[in-house]
Amino acid sequence: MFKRILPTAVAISAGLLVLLGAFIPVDPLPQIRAVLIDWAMFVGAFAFILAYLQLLRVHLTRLRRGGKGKSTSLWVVLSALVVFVLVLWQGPAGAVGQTLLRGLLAPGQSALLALTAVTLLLSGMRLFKVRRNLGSVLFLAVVLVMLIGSIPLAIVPYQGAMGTVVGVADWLQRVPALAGMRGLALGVALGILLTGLRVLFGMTRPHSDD
Amino acid sequence: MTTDLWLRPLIALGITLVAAVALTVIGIRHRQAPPRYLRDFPIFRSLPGEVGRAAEEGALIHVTLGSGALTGEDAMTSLAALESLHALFDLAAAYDTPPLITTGDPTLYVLADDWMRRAYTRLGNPERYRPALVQFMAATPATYAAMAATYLSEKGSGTTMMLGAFDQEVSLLTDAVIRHGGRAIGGAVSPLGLAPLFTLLEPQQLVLGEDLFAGGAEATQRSVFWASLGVQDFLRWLLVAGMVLTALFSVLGVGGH
Repeated sequence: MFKRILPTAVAISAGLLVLLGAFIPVDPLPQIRAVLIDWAMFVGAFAFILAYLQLLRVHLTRLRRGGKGKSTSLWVVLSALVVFVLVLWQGPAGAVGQTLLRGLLAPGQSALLALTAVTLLLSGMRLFKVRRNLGSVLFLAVVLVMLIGSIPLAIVPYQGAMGTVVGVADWLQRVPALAGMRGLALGVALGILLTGLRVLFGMTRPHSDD
Repeated sequence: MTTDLWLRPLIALGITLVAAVALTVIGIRHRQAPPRYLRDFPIFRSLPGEVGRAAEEGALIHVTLGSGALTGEDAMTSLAALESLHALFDLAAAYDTPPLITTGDPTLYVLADDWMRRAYTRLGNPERYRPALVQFMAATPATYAAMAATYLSEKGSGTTMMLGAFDQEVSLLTDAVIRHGGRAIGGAVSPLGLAPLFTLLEPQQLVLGEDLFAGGAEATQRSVFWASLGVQDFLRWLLVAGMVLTALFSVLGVGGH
């Protein structure tokens, strides 16, 4: 009983205090809210340490067992340990850490994101091959119009047919796309609100046994 | 300026209070029998079938939960994804065919690990739980998606389930699913995440936006989840009515700017 009641009581009271602190800017509610959020960040940081140790354990186990993916695991373990030691030694603002961040991590992230452009394009081409219906045709037509309409003015002047395409692309972005995104966001916001309220009222208890 | 400082939080508080009261009333009213609404979620009903198939074929189920941190704005999205998979966790523990669960956030990893472990504990088999089956892959979304995609190529996968807070990085996963085969289901709340999923999945395999928050109702069949969906519908119509009235008043010139 204690295992269920205590976590639920803590979750509900903390949630209520943070919510009230957000809505009612009357002292000391905002201060309590700030403290509780700080504590949540601390707990999140400890979760990071747990996750990091688990990552090392999984990949060390894979290295020990051998087989497929051994080289990936070796790189993961080496990079995780080396960077950890370097940042511990020099601090996160140290020269080596910053060089790794700017010279390796950031370009790597950019490369992966650039890859998503290619995979998205391939997915779009595959869509028309696999599913030939009105939805797919419309999807690809809009993608094509948006891509062409995004060509910079310096490359192709916005005249004639190009001007029409740019106008259509702009209208698609400002009207149906924005309307759709707002509708989607509204529904999601309601879902988030109700999911949060269920946790706040203790109707669902993801933190304990239910 | 001063009015705005009070007005917006008051409106938000008002909506929250209305939702809270509606949830309480509808929850109490439908405690005995869950209310059913005109919504069909074949994707969530298919999850137990996937576990059965995995048990028969010896294939792996790969669940990717995205990078939604429990300390961030995607917390409820990640929680909704986990709730949708509740029945899958219980069945997988019963068959002892646990899925490989990958996350892109440490706090989500801790929660997913706890849920999977508790599924085994509920069955009285806590010692059979293998911690390596819930993994935190990487802290950044693109790296996480790339790492999860490499798992598909290394381990192969019977079914890939992509449910949670995804943006365009999910296209790396969808590409891996296409190249390595296997079944897939997915859902996201962000348009950036939905676009790649739309190109891969049939309508009955895809969950769009707020429907992700309906998974808990189908998975658990508990009245509180159905009541929550009912309140969502009620609030949506309330907001739609408010928007239509505001637009009408604006057209008629009522109420100033």
